[in-house]
Amino acid sequence: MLWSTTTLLLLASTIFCTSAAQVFQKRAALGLVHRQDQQKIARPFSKDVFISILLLVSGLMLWLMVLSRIQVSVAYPLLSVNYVIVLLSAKWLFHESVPAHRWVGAFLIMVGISLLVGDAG
Amino acid sequence: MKYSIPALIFSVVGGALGQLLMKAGLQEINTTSITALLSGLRTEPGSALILLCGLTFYAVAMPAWIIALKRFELSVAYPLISLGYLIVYIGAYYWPGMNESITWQKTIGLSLIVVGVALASRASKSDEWVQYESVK
Repeated sequence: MLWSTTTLLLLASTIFCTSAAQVFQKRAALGLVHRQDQQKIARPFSKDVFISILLLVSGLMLWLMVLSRIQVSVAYPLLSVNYVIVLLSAKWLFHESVPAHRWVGAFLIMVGISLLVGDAG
Repeated sequence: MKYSIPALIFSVVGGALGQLLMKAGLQEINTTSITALLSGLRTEPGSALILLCGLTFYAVAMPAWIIALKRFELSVAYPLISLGYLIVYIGAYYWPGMNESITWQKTIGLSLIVVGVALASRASKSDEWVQYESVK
């Protein structure tokens, strides 16, 4: 297994892009609810939607470079760091209340990921 | 609603197959830049075709996911998506030429991730959508 700095950097950038895309999609969805409340027509192609699509495309490009370097059976599940980042975003950016079992889930995901990363296989 | 079950199955199985195909297409190429990636694919048209198949599966799995979510709650759909990790794990072991390892450490790590995703996406009474459903 090849864990060079570049691979880690590419992986981190992929995860950043896909997580940030989720955050912008949530922002877009909140915008739609707000507009409906004001009885205005919702715009599906808002700036938030555009940014999230841009992030998803960049994420895919980076992902292809990750896949060309490391095992897919390790790389693919590493994307579940997304759940943890989105959970933190829900808490800190959207001020949602996050029940305890979600944090336990996030912890298990991180333990599972460290086992995968640590496996030299 | 009518197609939500096949859509959910496709977003799990098709999504996983897409990842395997993308990896299969990229197998010969180790690169860090998009231009090097593209030129690598130009010299290997067979690999480029497999990669394209993978991207197509990925592209179809996304709308399938949206259709599935019309009926299934995230607390059901997310754990199923994480089962795709297991499909990729077993698939990458048997895929010709891929030869990825199956080890205890990876198996335990993956299982923890699947359980973790199920817990992280489990519904709770304080969720807004539950309140919304009960209002309806």
